[in-house]
Amino acid sequence: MRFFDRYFLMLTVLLGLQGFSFTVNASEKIVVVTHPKNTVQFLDKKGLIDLFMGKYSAFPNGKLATPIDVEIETELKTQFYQALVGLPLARVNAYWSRLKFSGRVKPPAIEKTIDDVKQRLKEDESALAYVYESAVTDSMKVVYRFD
Amino acid sequence: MLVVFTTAEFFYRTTYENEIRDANNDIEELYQTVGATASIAAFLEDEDLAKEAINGLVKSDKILGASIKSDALYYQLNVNEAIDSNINPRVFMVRHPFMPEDILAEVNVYPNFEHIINQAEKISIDNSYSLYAEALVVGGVALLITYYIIISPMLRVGRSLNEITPGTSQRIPTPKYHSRSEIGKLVYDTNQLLSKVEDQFTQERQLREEIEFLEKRFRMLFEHAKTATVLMKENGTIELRNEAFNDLVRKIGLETKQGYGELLVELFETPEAMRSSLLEAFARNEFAIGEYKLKSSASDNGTWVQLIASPLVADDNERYYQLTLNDISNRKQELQKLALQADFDSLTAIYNRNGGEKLIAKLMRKQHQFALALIDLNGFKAVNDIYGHDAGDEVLIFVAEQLKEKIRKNDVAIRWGGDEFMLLLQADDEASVQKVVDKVNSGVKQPFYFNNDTRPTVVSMSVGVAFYPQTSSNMHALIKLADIAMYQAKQNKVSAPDDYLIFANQSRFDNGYMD
Repeated sequence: MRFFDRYFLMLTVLLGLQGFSFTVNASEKIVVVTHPKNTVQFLDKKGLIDLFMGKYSAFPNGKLATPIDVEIETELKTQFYQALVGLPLARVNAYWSRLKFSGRVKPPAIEKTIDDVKQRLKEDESALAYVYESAVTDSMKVVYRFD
Repeated sequence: MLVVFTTAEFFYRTTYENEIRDANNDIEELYQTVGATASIAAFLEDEDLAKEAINGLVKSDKILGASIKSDALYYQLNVNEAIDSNINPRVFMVRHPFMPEDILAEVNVYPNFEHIINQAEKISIDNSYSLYAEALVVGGVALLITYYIIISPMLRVGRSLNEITPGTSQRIPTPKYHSRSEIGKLVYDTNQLLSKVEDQFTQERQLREEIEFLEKRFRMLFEHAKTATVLMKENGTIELRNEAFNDLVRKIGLETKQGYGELLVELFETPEAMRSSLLEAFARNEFAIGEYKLKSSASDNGTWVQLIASPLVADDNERYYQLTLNDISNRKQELQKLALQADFDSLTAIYNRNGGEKLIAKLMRKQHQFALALIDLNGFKAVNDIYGHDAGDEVLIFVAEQLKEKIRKNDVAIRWGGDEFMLLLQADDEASVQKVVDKVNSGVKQPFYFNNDTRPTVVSMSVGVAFYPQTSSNMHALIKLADIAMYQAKQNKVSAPDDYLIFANQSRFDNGYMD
């Protein structure tokens, strides 16, 4: 019974934490993370903007950077861009629409779910993604934290 | 039109300035449209985007040239041309699209002032034209309305006024719809005035009629007065005269003229006497009245007038004379006639007793020597009785004729009584007297035939003579003595008919006879 209880407890906690990640996201802080092996320690907001808005496609150290947008988690995405550039998603989309023609700038890569993002983060050294602080794991390096 | 002109000018100015301001705003707006692009271009350091922004700006007519400049990029279009035209650019700051506090670049916009100005002018002018046109229309309509509502009625009223004769009951008709308006009021007031004028005219007319009536009467009185009346100035100019005066002047053969000298002296026979007597009366503050003879023409036998003259002072302190000349010629003539009648015998046309006595008195006054012959007719009574008074008159006339014929120039024949005659002879001796009387006697003695009677009538004389002053120097005594002598002669009538003349003796009554 004790074994099942502990396992059951861990499951509930994990589920609960998962649940948390759904319900408590309004006041959840967002962080920007990279692959753990990424040599970048932290980025400033300006640099973030440059990366996520297509100005630069490399980290300050010159290494390739791949900003990632999460598709399904619209709430997260909305909050992220609101915090980053203070614009609603529509404006951001419009921004990218305009720039698509120029060809020289690249919008962020798209991963469907947060898990995909996590996966990407594990595999891609150039990945740069935004997650809720609660979703941060050891396989992520936080380079920026939104207040 | 002046107002419109000034208003139009004002609007032009305002519109112009507004247009300039709008143009400037437009430039701002234009920039706004490319601002985002410029912002992104600056952020991404994307030259294409920058070009897109600048080109977009310069596309507008209002912008001559533009440039974008940042640390990383620079692009310009037509800037040199703009700078050559001495245009100052408007500077817009290009901000970081995501971090607005960051200014990444500068956009210089060179407005096309020429174009803007042209536009502004064009619009302003169009506005002005519209204004003018509108003003014209409004003015035209206003004028039309004014004309119909105000001017036309006023003209009509003016015309009515022209046609109205003041003083009659004519009045100006109030124009339709204007009974309460200012025009209506004016018409009403004017009509009131006309009523007052009419009243006044009526009054004046009445007054004038009264005056005319009086004046006519006075004039009639003056003009038709039988008495010549004259109003004249001191210097002799006649101010007023009536027809009677003119008639008088013509009567004495003078022409009608402006004046006849001071106080009409020219009309009178004795001007100085008349004038001095008049002036004397005036000096005594009295009016002058007198009878004067006017100058006579050949044809008239002397016009006498009763002249009444008085001085007067008129309102203007001028001295005038008022003279009336009443023609008393008739009266004078009658008086003369009467005088004559008094002295003359109407039947025989020789002096009568009255006249004779006057003559005798005159001769005596003059102490003129004369002989007085008193003649009595014998048989006269018989004639009267037999043949009537008419026959008797004939005899008397005959005798008088004889007397007149037979006496000398300076001798006088007088009918002294019914059948008595007297001769006043210029003779101082008996012989001459005898001679004259004999001559008379021979004439008188001629026979008469009355009514074809075959029997002749003979009248004889008995004469008594007295001498003045020898017989007496007293008239009555003289006549008495002659009478006595005549009576004595009469005694001889039958007995000694040739001794018909007796001379009077020196009177015993002389100096003692008082009468």
